[in-house]
Amino acid sequence: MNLAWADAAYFLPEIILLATAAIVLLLERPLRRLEADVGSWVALLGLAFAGVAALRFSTTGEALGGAFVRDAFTSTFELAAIGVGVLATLLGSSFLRAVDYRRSEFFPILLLTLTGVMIAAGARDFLLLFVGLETLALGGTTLLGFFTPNEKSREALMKSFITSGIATAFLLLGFAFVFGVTGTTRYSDVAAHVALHAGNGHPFLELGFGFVVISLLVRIMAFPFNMFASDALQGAPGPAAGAVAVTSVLGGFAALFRIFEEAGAGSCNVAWSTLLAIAAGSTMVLSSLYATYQDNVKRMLSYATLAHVGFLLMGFAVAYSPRLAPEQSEAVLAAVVYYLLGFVFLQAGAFALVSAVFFGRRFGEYLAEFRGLGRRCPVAGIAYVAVFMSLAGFPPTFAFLAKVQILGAALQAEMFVLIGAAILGSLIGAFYHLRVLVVMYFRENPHAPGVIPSVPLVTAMALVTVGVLGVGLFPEKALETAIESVRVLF
Amino acid sequence: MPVIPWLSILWCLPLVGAIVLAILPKPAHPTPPGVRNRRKSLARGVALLVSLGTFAIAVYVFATYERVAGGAQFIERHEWIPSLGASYHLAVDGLSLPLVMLTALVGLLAVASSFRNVTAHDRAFHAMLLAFQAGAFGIFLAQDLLLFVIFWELALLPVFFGLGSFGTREERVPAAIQFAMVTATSAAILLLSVVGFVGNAYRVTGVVSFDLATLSSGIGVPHAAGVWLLAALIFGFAIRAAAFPLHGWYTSMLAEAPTGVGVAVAGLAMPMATYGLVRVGVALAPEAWLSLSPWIVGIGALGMLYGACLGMASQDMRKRIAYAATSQFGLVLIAIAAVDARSLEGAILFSIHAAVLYAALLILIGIIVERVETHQLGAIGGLGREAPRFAMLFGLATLLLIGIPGSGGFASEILLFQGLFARHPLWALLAVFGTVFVAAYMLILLRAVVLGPPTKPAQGEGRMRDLTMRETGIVGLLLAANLAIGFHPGPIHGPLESSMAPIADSVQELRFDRLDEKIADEWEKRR
Repeated sequence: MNLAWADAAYFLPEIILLATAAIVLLLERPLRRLEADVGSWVALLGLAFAGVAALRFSTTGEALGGAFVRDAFTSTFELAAIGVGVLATLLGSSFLRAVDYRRSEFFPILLLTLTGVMIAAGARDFLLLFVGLETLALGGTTLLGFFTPNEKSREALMKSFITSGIATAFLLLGFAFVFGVTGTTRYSDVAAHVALHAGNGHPFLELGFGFVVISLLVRIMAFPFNMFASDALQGAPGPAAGAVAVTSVLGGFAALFRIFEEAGAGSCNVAWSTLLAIAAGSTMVLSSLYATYQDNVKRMLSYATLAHVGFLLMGFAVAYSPRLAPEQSEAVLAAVVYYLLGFVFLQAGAFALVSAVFFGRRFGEYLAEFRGLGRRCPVAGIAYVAVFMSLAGFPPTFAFLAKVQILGAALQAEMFVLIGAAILGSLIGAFYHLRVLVVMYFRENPHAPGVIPSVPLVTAMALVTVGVLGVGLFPEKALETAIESVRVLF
Repeated sequence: MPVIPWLSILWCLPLVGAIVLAILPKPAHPTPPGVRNRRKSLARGVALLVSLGTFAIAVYVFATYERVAGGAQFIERHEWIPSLGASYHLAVDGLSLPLVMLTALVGLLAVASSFRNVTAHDRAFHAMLLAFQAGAFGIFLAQDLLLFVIFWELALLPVFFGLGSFGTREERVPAAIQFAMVTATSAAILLLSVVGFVGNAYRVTGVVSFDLATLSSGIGVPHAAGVWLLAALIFGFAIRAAAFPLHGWYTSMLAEAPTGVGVAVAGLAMPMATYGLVRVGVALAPEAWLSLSPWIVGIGALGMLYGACLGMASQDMRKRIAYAATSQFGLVLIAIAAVDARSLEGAILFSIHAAVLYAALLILIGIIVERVETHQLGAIGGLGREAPRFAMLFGLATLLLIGIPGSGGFASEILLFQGLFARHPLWALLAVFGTVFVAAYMLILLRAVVLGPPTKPAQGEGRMRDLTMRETGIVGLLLAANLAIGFHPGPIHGPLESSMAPIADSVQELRFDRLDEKIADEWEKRR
């Protein structure tokens, strides 16, 4: 694995993000006293360049001797990561200004986390995947604990750090088993080994894949590895919680896709469909149940994130059902990617809401504190309605179409229990989101607290609404992108 | 010459109106809540203008529909999501024509009837009404199932907000949550069923398509799967019309909703469900429909009886109307279950007739609630002397709902029973009860409110002022629409008949095939 100069062309977006991170870090000291939030502007500029690079100027093909590949799949996830970056930068800038905590390190750490997602999406070698996921995890953990004056934020950091350490341990253990059986870390070689021994796979190889999948389930916060998620996301500052939730899910799913399709885990003699269905079903139902009795909106939203994860995982479980024809599996996986694209907007929107009510010292988190918000801050209200409609699977949000596809495939695969769980989960989801809507619209607050209608916050919320509804109303482009990006894996 | 997309304009105009209302500037001197607003309001003007415009377009479509040619007209078809086989496909045929007209009428009168009684936030209120109307138009126009489901759910959220924000009492919030949860359940199950039908078609034809015509063109559904999918579909539709035993949300909704919202929902709920059952249910799975029809009749009959009992017992005037809807939808269910061309036609006409009268009665009861602040039966009585115009219209609406000759109910019941007697005489006997019960609970209501000695409530204005000219006009228009169906059903009847006949014929053929098989089996056994 020699790094040649020519490889730089494949890593253009990643390099741009890293360079931007470096610039913001260097500027941080001298510009701290300035009123303007230079850090966020530079970060936005860097994200824009990276986006252009990902769309236009990078070379497609393999780099690092096949350990990294830039194809439609990688580009899609890079764009999604950049989208997260833009929204999180806007929200972060608004947050930092509101609490008067002028530390621009937020942006470089965010950019590093995004780089981690990008590397994980393009990795075709277990070693590189490890690098990507670790970058992602360490960056994410730091973001969660970024707001050190808050005790809860420090606690979030600690919890996330420990869990992420356990996930890493599982990942390495898995790699060791896979390497021990196959003698390689390259996906294509592992897949060749699996194909060669089709039917009577080595139990240690399957165990190895099992450990890797467990580690990735921790990353995407699926049941039964979700205990830490709600605590960590609740404690973290809103913008960080949104960004970490989404990047972690994006990175985890990207790795799952590649490992299942390219490293041959999917063709192993393991009942993946059943195992993942159990994880998906319990994630959807349990997280929805937990969410119903939360009075803390941030905590409720973290459970809502998990409910989405459960649905995404359901798509995965359905795709690996033996009853489906390969082209149907491909369509379902495309629907999962499509859902992930919308998920980026969705979670940012959800966590933006908890940055909308500010009491001078802390942000409103409890249900009662959102009274009348829908009328006082219509943008927040509309953004939340869009978020609510997506979770309940209402049209015309993106989630509706993904639901159409995934449920359709699940019916074909005759996974009726899973369908029942999905419908139950989304109905419970509709209920707890309704509670927030009721408070926001039907209750008046006699002593209306301050809302911070800062420009970045309003921009982010508008972007969220446009994204969630736009991807839902005119889905063709996003669907095509998703289909193309999945096609390269098959 | 470019063709004007009338149908797109028809559903987009209210939606655009809603968006315009939402971004209108706040009035300089907002009326404090609780104070009757007598000043002219920009929002109301805009809303009325938009719904008048929509009404005019609906009249144009209704008038220029080629009745001789029949079939789908004003067709608009564009690519939308090719990778999912969904297209933007709108059309009007004999089945949707009267319903489009109804939507326009109900939408207009819902806006007109809440001219006075919504005070604060009237921009939002009217935006909700218009958005709901847009969704309702879409339901009747969509020829693509995905589009249909989207419109079905678009007509949901405005009601939730309208009910929760503008309801009169504290109980409005639980009612709004109940409404949202029940209709979300219905939507989810409906979606699942639609997706199942599409998946089945994919298995047979190898093409993913949400096009209604393609899906209902005789693609065989495996029997067991078809029955389950159809049961889910019926469940989804029937909830929306407050069918027994899922009518609780409807009762609490009508009891808490502001008049405009109540009128809009009650005026369209039953037609929407009836339309959905006929257009999607019968058409997609005729065979499964035949197997399920005894069950549908059973639920219909139970609902008819139960709704009538609750209606007779209920002391809340608005709830009585809600129970009437539950009871009468039972009749509609029995008629649809029989799938005779005449009974289907009768069911559609009956739902329109009943919806118009529910709207009228809700407006009238809303006026009582507004003026004397009571909705309890017996708290106010003998309005015949004090408010003669009110009493006359109330009495007429009651009699029309009972189905006196000349009412829309009479015309539709004739068709309905003709069809029922021709196919299933026993079911027809069952259905007759439905038409008797309504007389009981409605006449009790009429006697208590209009006839008898004057009773005065403790609070409120004390005296019941008679209807204003505007109110008389609104209610009069609704009653006139009903009488028009009764006296001159021609413009609706012809197209409706021509689009019902093919659906009914295909199902009846299946039924005869089954009978033939049965006879052949029997013959074999005897030999």
